[in-house]
Amino acid sequence: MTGTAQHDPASDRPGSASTETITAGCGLTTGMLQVAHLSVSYGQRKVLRDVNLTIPPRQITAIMGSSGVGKSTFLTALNRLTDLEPRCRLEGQILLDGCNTLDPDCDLQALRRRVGMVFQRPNPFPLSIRRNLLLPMRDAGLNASEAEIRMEQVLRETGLWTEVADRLNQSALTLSGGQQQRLCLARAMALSPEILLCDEPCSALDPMSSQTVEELLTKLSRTVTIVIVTHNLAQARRLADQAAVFWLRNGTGCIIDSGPADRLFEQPVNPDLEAWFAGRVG
Amino acid sequence: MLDQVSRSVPDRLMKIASTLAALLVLLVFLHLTTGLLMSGLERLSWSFIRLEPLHSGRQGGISFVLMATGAVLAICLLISVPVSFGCALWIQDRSRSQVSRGRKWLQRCLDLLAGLPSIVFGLFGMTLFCHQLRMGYSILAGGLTLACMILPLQVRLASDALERVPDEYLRGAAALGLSRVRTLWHIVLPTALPGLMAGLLLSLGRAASETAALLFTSGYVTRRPTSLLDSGRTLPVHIYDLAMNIPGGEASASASAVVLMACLLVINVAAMHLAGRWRQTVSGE
Repeated sequence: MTGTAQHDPASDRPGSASTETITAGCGLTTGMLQVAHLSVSYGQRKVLRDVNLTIPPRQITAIMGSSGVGKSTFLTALNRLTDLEPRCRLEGQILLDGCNTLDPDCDLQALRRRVGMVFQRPNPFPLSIRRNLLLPMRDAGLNASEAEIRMEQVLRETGLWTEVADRLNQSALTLSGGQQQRLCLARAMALSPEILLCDEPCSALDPMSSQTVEELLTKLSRTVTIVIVTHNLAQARRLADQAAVFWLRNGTGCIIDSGPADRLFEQPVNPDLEAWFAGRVG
Repeated sequence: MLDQVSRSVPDRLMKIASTLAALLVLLVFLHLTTGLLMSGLERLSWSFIRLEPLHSGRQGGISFVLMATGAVLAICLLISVPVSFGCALWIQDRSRSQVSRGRKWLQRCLDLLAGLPSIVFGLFGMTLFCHQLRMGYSILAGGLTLACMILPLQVRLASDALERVPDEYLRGAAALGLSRVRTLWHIVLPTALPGLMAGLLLSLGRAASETAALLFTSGYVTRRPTSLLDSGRTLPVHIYDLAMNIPGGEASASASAVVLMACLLVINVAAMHLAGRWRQTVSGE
């Protein structure tokens, strides 16, 4: 993202004039995230402490670690979905293109349109396939014809068009698990986010569907920054350009190593990490 | 293994007991409806619906009574539905987003109010609406009293229905930056609709069959109501009066009861049909 002639997908983003600026004075859109001294607490219990991580634009960053180390909490902090949790408190900074998303003045709707999310279990709304895709786009300010065009585009990108073109008005809940997850991906992509957060998107899918979603994520990473939480080390190896490993220290989650995925997997500097990769600890 | 378990004595006993219970409910319902139909159909005719009551209801029909009943129920629903839905939304909002002491207290108060006998609401309505707010014994006072009476039940049922909307839908909507209004209209309402409709119809049934609270507030004159501040007699009050106070009024009471049941049935079917149509429109299926 250095050449000035490079096409910026942000310019295609729906409702760009009104929704892109999440706080005053932040206009650049590269999809770069910088997390500085992030701590997350639920009431008195601290679940993440002093997390520092730079997520480079248009690459896949894998977030790894055992269960309960705060990977999903970290992911949901990036789009402030943690605000839905009772008594959750965030400290530190999360800079999206230099703009602190933890600022109390941050426009959460605009932030979440820029930072899309796909969940562990597919969660299409109990609406038709068409309405699932049109609803967020219409809410973001696209008119009906623009939204229809974009719908077809994202369905083609996710490889769903040929499978659902003749039944767009059927309930999304009639789709298979893999199709539902791709629909959720398409729904998130319909808003042309700069960043896509994926919380173990393949964990509820069969191997074939997982492969399809993985190929899709690789394709999408050309234009979108992807942050993926995964338990699956093999999947992280296949997908990730960058990686960060979360670990429990004194009952609180923190990052023990991060950097280019190849370096992390081949030459882990931390002995805990080496043991974990070797399968000696869980 | 499963067969062996299902053939065990306690299992068989449970199956027999539940079947007997179901049969008992069915028998009570059949006895009630056939008894009513047999005594009421004799008196029931189109003119019974169309004519005004004569000789304290022994003769003529129930047209003015139906008008008063419709007006009282309309006022009751007009007030109670938005208020109860708003309150249920507030409760759900608090329960999902934060630990709220206010919500718990409100729920306890509502549960207590829902258990109060209707005659207490009648006394409350008479004091507040009829006397203090100077509405007199009127359709308006009756409707408002009924609204107060069914409000706790409606809030409870609406709150339960909203609670059953899966968190994953709400998190999905929030992650897409969907506005609260659009989330409510397109996702929460269609998902909670069966529960909301069941709650609405249950409370409507309770309001439509209420007698005690209305005796104190909307009065029991059988004349044609000319305004909302006029007194009026509702169907349950009419049935009560014919059965208890009017010699020879039993046939008209049974016929009125059949009409009341038919009205509730029609409202039920129409409401479910309209709700189904609306859900289909919103979901785009």
